[in-house]
Amino acid sequence: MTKRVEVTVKYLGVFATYTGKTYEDIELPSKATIKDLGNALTRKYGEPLKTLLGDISGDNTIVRFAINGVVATLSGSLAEGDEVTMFIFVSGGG
Amino acid sequence: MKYGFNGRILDINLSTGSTSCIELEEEFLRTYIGGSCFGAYFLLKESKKGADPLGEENLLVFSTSIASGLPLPGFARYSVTFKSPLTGGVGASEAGGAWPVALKRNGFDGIIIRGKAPKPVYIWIKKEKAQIVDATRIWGLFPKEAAKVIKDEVSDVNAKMILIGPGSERLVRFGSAINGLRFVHGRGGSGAVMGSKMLKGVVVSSGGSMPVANPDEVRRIIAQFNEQAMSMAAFAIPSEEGSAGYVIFQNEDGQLPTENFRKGSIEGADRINATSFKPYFEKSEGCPGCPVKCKKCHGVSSAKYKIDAAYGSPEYESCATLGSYVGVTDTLAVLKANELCNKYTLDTISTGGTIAFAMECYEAGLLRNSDTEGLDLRFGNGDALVRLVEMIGERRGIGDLLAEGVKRAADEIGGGASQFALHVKGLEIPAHEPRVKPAVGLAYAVSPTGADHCTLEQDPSVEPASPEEVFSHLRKLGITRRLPLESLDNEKIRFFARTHVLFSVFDSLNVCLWCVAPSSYYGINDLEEIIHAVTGLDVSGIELLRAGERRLNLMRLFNLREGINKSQDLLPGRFFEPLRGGPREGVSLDLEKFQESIDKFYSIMGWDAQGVPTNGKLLDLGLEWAAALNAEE
Repeated sequence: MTKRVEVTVKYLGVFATYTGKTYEDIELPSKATIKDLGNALTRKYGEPLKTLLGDISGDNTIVRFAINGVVATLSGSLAEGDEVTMFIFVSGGG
Repeated sequence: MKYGFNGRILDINLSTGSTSCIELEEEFLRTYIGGSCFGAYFLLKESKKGADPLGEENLLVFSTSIASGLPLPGFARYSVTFKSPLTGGVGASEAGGAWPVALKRNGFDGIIIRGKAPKPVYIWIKKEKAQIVDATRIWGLFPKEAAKVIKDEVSDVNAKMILIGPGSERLVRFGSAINGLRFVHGRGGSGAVMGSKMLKGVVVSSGGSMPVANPDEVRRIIAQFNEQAMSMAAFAIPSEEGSAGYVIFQNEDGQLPTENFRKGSIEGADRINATSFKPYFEKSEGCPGCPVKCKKCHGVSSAKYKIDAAYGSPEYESCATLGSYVGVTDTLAVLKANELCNKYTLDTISTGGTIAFAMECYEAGLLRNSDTEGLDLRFGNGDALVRLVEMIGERRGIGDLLAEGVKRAADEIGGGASQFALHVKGLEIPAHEPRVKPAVGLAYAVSPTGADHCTLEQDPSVEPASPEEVFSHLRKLGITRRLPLESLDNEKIRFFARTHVLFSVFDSLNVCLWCVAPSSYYGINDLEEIIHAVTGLDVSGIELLRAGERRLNLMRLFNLREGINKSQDLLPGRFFEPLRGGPREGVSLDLEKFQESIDKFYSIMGWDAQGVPTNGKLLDLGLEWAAALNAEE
């Protein structure tokens, strides 16, 4: 049987709007990365979350991820019980 | 035949009541492009050295560009340029809305306003003619009420108008000009300058037309924007929630200015984020021709606060400066404070920054209850925030002192208050943390208008996690390496200098910063295409970048003429102290390294060690006339 890890995803702001949740536990294969999580969320929710996440597979996303409060790259690996927060790339203001 | 622009600027002297026109040759238009580049040109050339910013001799220049003022996504915009009552240097501020579209359709690309009217007036423009109209009856009214009266008077229910409210009339130094009740020229005090001229408004007829050179091409550009741009992630939050949707992410990342920039995050930030405004949502609105509709309107009719949705809802900056900046997370207090700022026509950034300053002074015992009419000015007091905005707008009690902005208020209070007065050149600091984004700090320090967050592509675009579609635009500017967010090495300084010039292009061309690359849609090649489709002129990206550089040099020369020099290219001491609490705890700027970065920026710009543009650089830009003008002074 394939080993799995369960992580908690924290949805802030527009992510909460798009998913209808503020927290969610997601099960992934062991040795899963942030990229795998992004792809799983894209598959699960489709549009409009998909637009926001962009081309995760092609490393082309405005979303940044933090694992347990520390900003991680898309190749960052996930462990059982990790909390992942998604941020939006903010490069200016209104 | 001219397409996309009129080649004509209206010239009005309110002292004499005279109106005339300045014809603009194609060569001039290509050289200076428009927006605040036009404004800087006229300000330097035609205003008197040492003019009182709130006196008769100041100039107020409203200007579109060769391609702006059109119902094309990102292009229904314009600038206002003036000598700032806060900084004493150049003031420039851009806004969107229907006003610039109406102006162009009625025969003008811009307006220069000189002098001071003997009594309150507004300017009425219709079919290439301008008239100065008595505004005594509406002086003192909020913009919405004033607009109703004006529409009746000019018999045009769709007339477009720039107006000021009672705060700007009372010469609050950070008074803003506002159009359509919610499209604001936030920074620098343009509203106060209007107030000093007894100018209640500039009203333009809703009729007229503006032909473009290639209508099919313009239609193609619009269709492409609607299809491609609107599927970009960059537009998701502006479109869905407005920029107020960024608050929560800034907070989670530890860079949401809190309690006068002592901290970078606040408990309860979700209450000042756009998602908390949803129960009060009334409508989304955009500038003419733009599908993004980033302007949100929320109305409240609670027992405590009634909030008129007509004045629009707070953007990110306003949520932060009227929220975390003053320690307030009360949703309705922030919405109300924003509405009051727009009714009195006050810049929300300077208003929030000034109130945060007062709160820190109160905490330190420099302001007491006897100074505040008993108002408890502790950080976090939402009721005090709302009361203080009104007091500033009315120049009542302590509000009269705070209406002068933090720099002057600190001088008056004394006793070390200046350490709490966060400003650059007199302009209060926007809601972006320079300790986390040092290029933003550099922009605050050297921007000709004072602390201005809209003068560069910010540091996250060049950091390792920046998306490829963003970074690829930077590569085209010669930025080849991704850099740590908090770095300030030579490559980061180059990144700043190049994007500083690029953003100067945007403010000359008057294109919306939400719509342009690196972070968003229009690259420089797209801008070339748009100018060609609209005007028929082949203006290259190189020409545009030269115009952007020209604007920065004109503004620098204006400031130097007015006595603003290298000594004012600095940041408040707070940013060299560690950030307290939150995920970015302990982060600070290194003073020596920061000062070196300013010197290096001067070198890159072709300025001498004192930050003065060299003759070679001015010759290069075709600005010999400006150098000669300054030498004569």
